[in-house]
Amino acid sequence: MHTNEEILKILAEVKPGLAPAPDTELIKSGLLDSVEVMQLVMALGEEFDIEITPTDLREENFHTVAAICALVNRLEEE
Amino acid sequence: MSYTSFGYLFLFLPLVWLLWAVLPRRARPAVLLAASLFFYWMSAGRYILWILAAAGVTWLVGLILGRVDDLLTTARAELSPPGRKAMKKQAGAVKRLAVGGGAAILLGVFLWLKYWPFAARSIAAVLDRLPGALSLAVPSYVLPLGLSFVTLMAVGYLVDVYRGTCRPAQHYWQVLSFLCFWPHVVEGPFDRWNAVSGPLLDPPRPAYTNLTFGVQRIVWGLAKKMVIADRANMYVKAVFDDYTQYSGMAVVVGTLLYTLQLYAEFSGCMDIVLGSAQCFGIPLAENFRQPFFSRTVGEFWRRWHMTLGAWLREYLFQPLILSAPWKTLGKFCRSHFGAAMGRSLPVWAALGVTWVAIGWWHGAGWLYLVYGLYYFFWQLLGEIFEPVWTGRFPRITALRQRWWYRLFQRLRTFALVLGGMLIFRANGTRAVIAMVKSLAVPYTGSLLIQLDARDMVVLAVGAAALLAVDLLHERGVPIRQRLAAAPLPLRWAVYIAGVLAILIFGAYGDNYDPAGFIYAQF
Amino acid sequence: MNALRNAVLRIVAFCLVLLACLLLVGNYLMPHSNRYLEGYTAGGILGEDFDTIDVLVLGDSNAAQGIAPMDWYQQYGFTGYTYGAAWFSVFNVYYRLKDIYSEQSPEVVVLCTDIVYSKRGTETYFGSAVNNISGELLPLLRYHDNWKELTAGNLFQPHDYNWRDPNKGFMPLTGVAAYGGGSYMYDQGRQAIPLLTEWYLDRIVRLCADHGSQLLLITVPAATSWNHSRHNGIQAYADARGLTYIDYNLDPEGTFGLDWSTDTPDTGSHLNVLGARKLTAALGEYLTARYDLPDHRGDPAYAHWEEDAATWADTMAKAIPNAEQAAEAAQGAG
Repeated sequence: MHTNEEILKILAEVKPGLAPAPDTELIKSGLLDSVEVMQLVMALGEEFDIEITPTDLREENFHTVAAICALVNRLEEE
Repeated sequence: MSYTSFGYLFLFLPLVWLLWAVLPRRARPAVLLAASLFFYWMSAGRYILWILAAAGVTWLVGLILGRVDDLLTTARAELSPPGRKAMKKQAGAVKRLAVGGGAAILLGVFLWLKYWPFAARSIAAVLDRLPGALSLAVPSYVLPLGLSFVTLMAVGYLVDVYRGTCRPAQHYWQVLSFLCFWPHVVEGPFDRWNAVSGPLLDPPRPAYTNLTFGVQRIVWGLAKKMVIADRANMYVKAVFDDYTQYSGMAVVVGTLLYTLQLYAEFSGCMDIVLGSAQCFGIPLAENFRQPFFSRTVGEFWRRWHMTLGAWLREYLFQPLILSAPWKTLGKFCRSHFGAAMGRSLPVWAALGVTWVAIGWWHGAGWLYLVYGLYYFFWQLLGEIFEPVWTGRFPRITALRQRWWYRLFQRLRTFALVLGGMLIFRANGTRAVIAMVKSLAVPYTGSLLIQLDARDMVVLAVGAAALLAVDLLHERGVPIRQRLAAAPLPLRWAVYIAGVLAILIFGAYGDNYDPAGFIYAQF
Repeated sequence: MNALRNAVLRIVAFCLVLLACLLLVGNYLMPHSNRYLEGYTAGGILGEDFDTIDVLVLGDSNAAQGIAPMDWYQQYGFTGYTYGAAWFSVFNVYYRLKDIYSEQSPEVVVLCTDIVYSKRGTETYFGSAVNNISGELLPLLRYHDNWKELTAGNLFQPHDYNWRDPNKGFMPLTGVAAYGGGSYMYDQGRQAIPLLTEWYLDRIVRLCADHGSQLLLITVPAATSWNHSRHNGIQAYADARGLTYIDYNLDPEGTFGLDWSTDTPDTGSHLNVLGARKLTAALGEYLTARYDLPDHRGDPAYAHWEEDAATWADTMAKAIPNAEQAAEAAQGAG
């Protein structure tokens, strides 16, 4: 099981200075744009060795740190 | 049949609506389909065969994909885990073959008709310069109405079915109804099957608010098109088509007015289109979200022609990054340039491909490649310098929260967009260079080109009205709901004033050139 | 059911209020003087005394530049008016004729047939019909651009429609640019009259009959826009309705003698004042021979016409030598 802290660490690498609360809205608020989301996806795939597919690229999987963490955990199980 | 024609607004739309509303619920989808086919046939004649065939391919491939999924689900229960895995793999291969084949047919026709003449022209130009007698005939095709809109919507549908995010349609007429639905067939928006198929195939009851809100939106769209866009068109046409005659401020004003024209016209057309569909209770996708409040060019393209951006993001940009070659590219970059570049370079490469696609979607020609790359350049510049800014000036994050800094960002974005507009409207890449150079030459003639001072006042008031409405939308004010809640005399006064404004200040009749919709050519 | 009834009532009521506003504003935006109702001086007919016009000519620019009714008054004493404007259509003419009948009761109505096939290049016949008919029913559509003419001074100025045109709707052009294209009346097909146009032509025919006017169809010579298939279309229509039709492009009787090298200002689409006088004379001869038209010269009720005739004589005294000079120059150059 991964934690929000691990996600936050990667998030800070992708976008320095970004340190949202676990349930802060990331997409709608514009904190992450589509390019940064994809950079995050690249980083997540590398860090956790998971395969993210286009079907996973839905807003509800990326809209908060908690959601991203849940996605990573789910993909790792598969 | 143009959306602004008398035939559409006063014959086609009311008659179809009445028929749709009066007939029993079961007959309503048939009314919509028949109306769409009639509309297409009136506008494009025998090219209707193309849309019938494209819908056929889309329906069949969707059906195959759905059947494979169903087989997989039923067989799954009876198989052992390793058997399941093997079967899933097989099914995956079949599905990939089906979706690939379907998309190849649809996109093949699209690419062939839209891009082969341009490619052939370019190849022929190269061959001419080479020694030897090689030459290539350059064909010229008439594009079926809505070629790129229908093709991309069909491919989007197939990919969604493939990914399992939407259920395939069982009947041919359902797919046809979706693809040739007359409001989105000419200029988009690119609609999604999931969002539209419900009310399209199982229509809701006729509703007073849907009808009145729909009509209001159509009127607002007409106002943008007739009062602002068609008027600005006269100025823009003069400056851009006769660009050697103008320089300096005339080019600046021409570009400003073209930006105003294109926004008023394209968003106005979307208002007519979405309003038309709303009369039937069908919510089509929004294509604009106050684009001129964007703080970066990337954001601008997420607010301008949104459904094109969304389509390319979902079916090109993202799958590209997740594809095998891009993973290899990522590994290569990481090992050679470090972790940060390992995540960024592949994304930027995919971004470049996407911008080229956006550019070339607008037209087959070098100018449109320049147009796409222009925006790519600015976005990439921002991406590269972002870590530099935040690293060197950590205070910038706080600064970006200030209203004046945000205003500066918006103005900066607007200036960059103006550059894009100049490229987009100019008659070829040479004209772009000449016009940019001419900016340095002061213009001594009158700035009232083709329009008089009163026309300019109308344009200024029109632009202010657009800005005000966008501002209210940005603040989340539901204008039509607010108005509907106002007392009747006030409400009616506003509506009547709106209609009068269009009829009085509209740029139609003997003193103006009729102007077609710009985006109808794509 | 009640909700539905209320909704329908509300929509109908709104449309009625809207229509009232459109008509009011349209009326307000009409030109301040009848001089500016049309591009040429067709609007001047509103300044004429009631029931004083014997021959009413209806048509487009070909008629306005080709038929000079004042010549008839001078020679025969009957009164005429050419009601024509650029791009006039059968639809425009029908509604205008209806209006004119409220003030005038002409003995003869001469309909120039160019209008039957007239439409702008970018329009379809249907689109052109819709534009013309809606422009007639809602004056706001026709005059909407007049808001540009409004100033602080004329905002509340009442309309004055008493202006009289001494040229009686004729627009004298003195330039010369020869037509050198040769014969154009050879095409042997028959161009059908568009459906809506034919319907409105029939309405014009009925309107004339109801008001006791005799209807005569003519075609003003126009080398670049007329041809034999159009002629055949009109001839077939005239035969079916029992109307008389004279096509001056065919130079009937051979006495009319139009010279395309001197009688057109724009290489064959219209007539200049030299051509117009020939056509007017030929048509005048036909009208007096065929119809029983009165001679008003010396009648005190037609004192205006005496005044206008004097102005007309002055105008022609300048225009004819100008045109002749231009013709000589053109022929010298050719």
